[in-house]
Amino acid sequence: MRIITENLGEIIDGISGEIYTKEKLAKEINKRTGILYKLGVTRGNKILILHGGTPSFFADLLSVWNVGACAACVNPDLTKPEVQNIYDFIKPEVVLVSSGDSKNIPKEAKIINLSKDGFNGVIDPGNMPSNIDDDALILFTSGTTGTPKGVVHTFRSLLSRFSLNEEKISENEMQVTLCPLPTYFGHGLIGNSLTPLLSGQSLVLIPGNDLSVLSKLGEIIDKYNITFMSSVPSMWKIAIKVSKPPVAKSLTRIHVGSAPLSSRVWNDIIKWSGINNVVNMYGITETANWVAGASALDHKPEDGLIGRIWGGDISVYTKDGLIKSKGKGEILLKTSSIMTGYYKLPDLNDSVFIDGWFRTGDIGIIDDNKVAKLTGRKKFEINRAGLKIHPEDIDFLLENHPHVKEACAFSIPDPIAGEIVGVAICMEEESETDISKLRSWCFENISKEKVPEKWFLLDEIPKNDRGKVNRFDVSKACI
Amino acid sequence: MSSNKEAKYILSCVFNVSVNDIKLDVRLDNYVHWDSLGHMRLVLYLENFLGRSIEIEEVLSITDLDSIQKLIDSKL
Repeated sequence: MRIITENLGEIIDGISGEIYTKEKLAKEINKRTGILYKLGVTRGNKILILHGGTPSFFADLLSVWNVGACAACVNPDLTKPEVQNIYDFIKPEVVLVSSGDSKNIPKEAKIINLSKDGFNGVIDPGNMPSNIDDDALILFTSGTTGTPKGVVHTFRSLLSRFSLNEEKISENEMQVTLCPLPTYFGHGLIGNSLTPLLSGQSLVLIPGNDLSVLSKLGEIIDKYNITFMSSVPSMWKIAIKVSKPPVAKSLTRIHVGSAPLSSRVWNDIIKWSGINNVVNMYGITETANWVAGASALDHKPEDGLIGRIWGGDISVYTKDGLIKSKGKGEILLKTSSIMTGYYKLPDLNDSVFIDGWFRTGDIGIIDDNKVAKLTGRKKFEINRAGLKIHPEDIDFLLENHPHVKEACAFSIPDPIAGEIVGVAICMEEESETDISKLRSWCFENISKEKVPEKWFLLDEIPKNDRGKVNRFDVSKACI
Repeated sequence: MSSNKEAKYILSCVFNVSVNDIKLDVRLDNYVHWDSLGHMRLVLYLENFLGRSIEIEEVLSITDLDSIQKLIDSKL
C-alpha cells in the first residue's frame, strides 16, 4: 500500500536525540522500499521485524507496507528458541534487524539491515501493486513457546482504526506525542505511535521500562513540549514515585490502557500531570488496539470505567446465552477495525466470534447510556504490567523440561505490576528440585517477563473430578 | 545481622530468590530481577519496613546493597 510520505510526521529518539525529520523519514522509506523491491519482496510476503522503538523501526515498517508486504513485529528480546518458533511458523521471506546482533535468529533466515544498505534509484509505485484487504500486520499475543497466536490486520482494518482514533483525538492534542511503550504490541504501535505519525504529528520515543528514563519523565515532557502520551498503569505507579511532575504545562491528553486502572492511580495521574483529560482506555490487539475510552473530563474516575465505544457497537453475552445491548456479561464488540483472524489458526477464529460479534473474554456492565465498565475477566491470562501472558505458554515450556512432570501457571495479584506469574510444579520422581536452576533455564527459553516469579512445589497438581486442571483452584491452593 | 546481610535478606524476599543467589556486587543495573518493577517492589517493602514514605531522591539512590543497608540502618 503506497505510503504518502508527505503526510507523515517526524520521529525523535528521546534518548539518543536522533531525529528523522519528515524529509529524512521520506528519504529512508524510499531507500528501504527500493532495497526490498530489488530483493524481490512483494505483495503477500511476510517480513519479520525483529527490532523496535526507534525511528529506523518505523522507516522499516512503512517500507514493508510500501511494497505491499505484511509486517510481523515481534519483541526483540525474545529468546533464541522463541524466535525460531515464530520463524518456523510464519516462514518470513526476510528478517529485518537494526544492528549486527543476529545471534538469536535462525541461520537459514535472510537477515537484512535496511539502514545499512544503499539504494539510489526511483521506485515506480505502479510496480508495487497492493490491495486494501491484503494482510498488513501480524502481532503475536501468545504462543512463543507453542503454537504462536498471531493477530492479523489488513490495511483496511488498520486504516479504519487510525480514522476512528483521529475522530476522538484532535491534531492539536496529538501535536507532539510521547510513546514510552514497546512497538511490538498494538497499544504502543497502532495507538500511541502510528495514529499521530500518520496524521502528520511529531512522535518522541523513549523506553518506558527504564528506571533512569522514568525518573526524568517530567523533564522529558517539558523538553519536547509533549501534548499527548499513552502508557500502562504500572509505568505510572513508578513514574509518579520517581519523577518530578512536568512544569511547562504542554500536556493536553493522557491515555492509560492495557491493564486495569484503579480510580486511585487514575487520580494520581491527574494530580501529577496537572490535567483532567486522562482517559482510561480499553483496547485489544484484535480490534487494532483502542476501542473505547472514558476521560476524567467527562466521568468521575471509577474502577473499570471504559466509557463508550469508539466507532462500532458493544453488547454483552449473558450467562443465559443471550446477546444484549445493556446489562452484565462477557463484553462483545463489533468494529470496522476488527482483525481478519489468527494467522493459520482457523479453528480458533471460529471460537472467538458469535453471530458476528467478537468475544473479548472480559466481563463487564453496559448501562442505559451505552457506557461500559469492566468488572472481571473470563479468559485465563496473566496481565503483567500491561503485557498479556498466556499461562499455557509457561505450562508448555516447563513440561518440556526433563525434570518437570506437570506445571500450572496462574496470576498472582501484585501492587505494582497488577499481576505477576506464579507457577505450581510437580517434579518427576527422583529428580533434583532446584528452583533457581529451573528459573535460570526459563530465562534461556522464554522472554524475561514470562518467567514465573513465584514457584510452588506440589506433590500433585490439583484436578477436578473429571481429571482436569482448573487454574483458579490451583492458584487458591498455592496462594 | 552484620552489615549488608539484612539488605541481602530483603532483596531475596522482594525478588523471590534464595539469599545465596544475591551476590555482594548486585546492583540495579546488573541483576535480571532488579528492573523498574522490581525496584518499585523494593521501595514498597522498604517503606513498610521503615514505616515512612521514601522520597524521590532516596528512591533513586537505592542502587546496591550498601545503599539499601544504609536505609535499613537509619531505622535501627
